[in-house]
Amino acid sequence: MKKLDSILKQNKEIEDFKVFDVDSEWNLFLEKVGESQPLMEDKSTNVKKSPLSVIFRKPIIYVITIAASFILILGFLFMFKNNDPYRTTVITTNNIEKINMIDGSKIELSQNSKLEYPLHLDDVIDRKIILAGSATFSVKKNDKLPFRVFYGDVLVEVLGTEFVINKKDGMTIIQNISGKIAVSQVLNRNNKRILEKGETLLFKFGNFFVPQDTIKTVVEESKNTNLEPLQKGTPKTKSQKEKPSTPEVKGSTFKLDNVIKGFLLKFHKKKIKVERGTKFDKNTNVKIDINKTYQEILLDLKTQGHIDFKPGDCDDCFIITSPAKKQ
Amino acid sequence: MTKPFENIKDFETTYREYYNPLVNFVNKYINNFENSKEVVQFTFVKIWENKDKIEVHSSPKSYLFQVTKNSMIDYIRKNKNHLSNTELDTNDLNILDDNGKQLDPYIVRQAVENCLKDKKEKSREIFILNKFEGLTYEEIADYLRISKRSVEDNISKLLIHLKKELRNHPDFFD
Repeated sequence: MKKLDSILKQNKEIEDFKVFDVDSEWNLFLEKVGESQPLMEDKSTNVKKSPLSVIFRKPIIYVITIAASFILILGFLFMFKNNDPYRTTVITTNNIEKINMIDGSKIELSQNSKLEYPLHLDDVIDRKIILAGSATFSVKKNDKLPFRVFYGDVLVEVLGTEFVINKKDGMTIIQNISGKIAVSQVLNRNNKRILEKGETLLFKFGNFFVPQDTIKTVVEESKNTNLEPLQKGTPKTKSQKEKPSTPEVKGSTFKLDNVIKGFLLKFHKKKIKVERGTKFDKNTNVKIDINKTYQEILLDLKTQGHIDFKPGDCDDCFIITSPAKKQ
Repeated sequence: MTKPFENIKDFETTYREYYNPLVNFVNKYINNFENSKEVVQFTFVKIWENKDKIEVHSSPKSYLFQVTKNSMIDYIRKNKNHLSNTELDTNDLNILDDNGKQLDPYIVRQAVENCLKDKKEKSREIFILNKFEGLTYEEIADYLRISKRSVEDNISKLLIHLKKELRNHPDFFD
């Protein structure tokens, strides 16, 4: 293209270059020659090329892109079409809402809560409920359609029963009034507990545990007929129902990491610090009673040999260090 | 020996390709854009009306150039009185130009204008200074107070664009 450079230099001689609208000139030309108008329109579209024809001349990737976006749009349409007529959402502020589901189950939605439930049970595999806030359920027995309540991180599965879901101080409280329900973590279905009639289960920091006496007051006392502690296993062991554990055991089993990061550091930010380079076994299961004060919990962890601590800058501050005896 | 103007579709392509270069070429001698447009339009109408008889021995470009040049000379002769101030530079036109090389700068210029159409004023200026005025990169960088690197970038980008524009041009750079 050396030629191009020399031609470009000749452009210096062109003093004034104007670009005229060729389209209108071409129309004028056609008028003069007496060619029909439609022909001209055909031609102009041919030369300009419609955007679509340009796209389809490009490599197959463009075709794929268009196909993918069509599928996406169709998917959205399908979603909305499917979701809207079959499910509905109820939100309460200061009122209490009573919902009668199509299968005969009754839900009483408490104040400031939100509940999504199905209107139709025709082509579904379960009765899926999504709840935020608190509600009391009275589920009609239906062996084919399990009643599943998604409550944040917790999944409650029942066939037919009455139970209450509530939340207090970041702790999920599930209280079973009659029948039998299965409670599990949404992300980890193996972390599962079975609740017998009258039992209550708490959920916090990814762990289930059985309420201590103090929590009884949270749940309506009239409904706590026989509150027996459940078996306290590690989250991974399969649920061992029907064998009430020894009532002497105090506290619940947590992972050490959850206790320190999810509880002690989270709720006592200014009081508790972890010394740099502190090593502790994150996955050890520790048994503590989270209703105790943080000083007591720290002491418990120290006596169990999981960590050590020393006084911090202020009177009630502590710094967590590596366990003394291990090394 | 071909008959390149028989088909209206091909004719339109040729028309769109050469209309602006021809008008600007004629304007150089007539010095009036309206009249130049008339001359070029007249030329095309004449070619279309005689499309069955025309047999082109060289390329469509050189044929178009020759016919336009003749129309222009006719026009200047006819309007000699009105165009007293326009002097026909016969030296330019008498050169035997079989392949229409005189038209090349105008074709390139049209491509340049197309490329520069949506470019910023700055890159336009850089390009014109370098390619038309023949300034070096250093001189442009100094003149516009920008880095030499940015001058180079601007010009190389535009050149790629320009070559793409010209690649589809029939009987050009063959």
